[in-house]
Amino acid sequence: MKYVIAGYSVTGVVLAGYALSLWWRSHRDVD
Amino acid sequence: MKTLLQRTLGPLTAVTLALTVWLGIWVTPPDKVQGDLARMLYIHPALAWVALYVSFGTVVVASALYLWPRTRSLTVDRVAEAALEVSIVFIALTLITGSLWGRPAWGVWWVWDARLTSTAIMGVLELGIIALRRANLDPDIRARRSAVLALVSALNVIIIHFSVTWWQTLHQSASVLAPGGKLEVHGSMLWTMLLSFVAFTLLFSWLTRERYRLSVRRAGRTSDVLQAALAQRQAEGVPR
Repeated sequence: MKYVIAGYSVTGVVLAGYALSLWWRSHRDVD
Repeated sequence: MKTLLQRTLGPLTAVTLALTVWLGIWVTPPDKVQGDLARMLYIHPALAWVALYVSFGTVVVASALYLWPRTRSLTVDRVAEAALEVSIVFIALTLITGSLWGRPAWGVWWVWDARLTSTAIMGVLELGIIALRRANLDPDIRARRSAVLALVSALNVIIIHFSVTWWQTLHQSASVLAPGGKLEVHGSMLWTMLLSFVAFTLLFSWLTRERYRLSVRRAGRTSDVLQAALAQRQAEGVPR
């Protein structure tokens, strides 16, 4: 089960990180 | 005015993703052969589906539309750029989750299998297109060259798709819909898997839309900076 938890966690972190990077890049460009 | 789809895309994506995780980890039964490891199949195939077919498919269609003179526009180029970046994220996750499944199932993190290798090559090709985009400042040259490279790279998607039948691979062949149309997955496992495909496709739509908006904002900002610089130069040329 540890590999499954790792897979779901990595997927969640990477996708959330990418979404945050879009938000950050968008606000950085405005400032 | 925002359409209903535009307003509901974000919440719908969040709900379907949360449902996929809940069903995938807590509701579906462990597999008879793979046990709990089968729960990885509620994310890995859907990630690959989005990376190769949905995202890169969008890149290919947008690239073809740019190369066709009648449909050429900066809008389709921006769609290609947005979908390409999202595809890279999904390819990376496909390889990572596949590796996390392969370690306990095959005993290795990585093997130079035809499916794995061709998928990794796809990631390199996509990074190449991004590099090509950054190397060209002229918008038209940038769009044309990246569109041509995207269409050439699409050949690799065909290789990835058929790699499990063309070569003897460690990666299993089609495991949801076997050749002949026979379903190999049933009940809650099947519904959860189908839901994961919907959830990640919605997430692709949301991420691509946000990435597209970022390109539009950047273009507007570049235009404003250019206009300001031109106005300054004109003011400098006026005799006092």
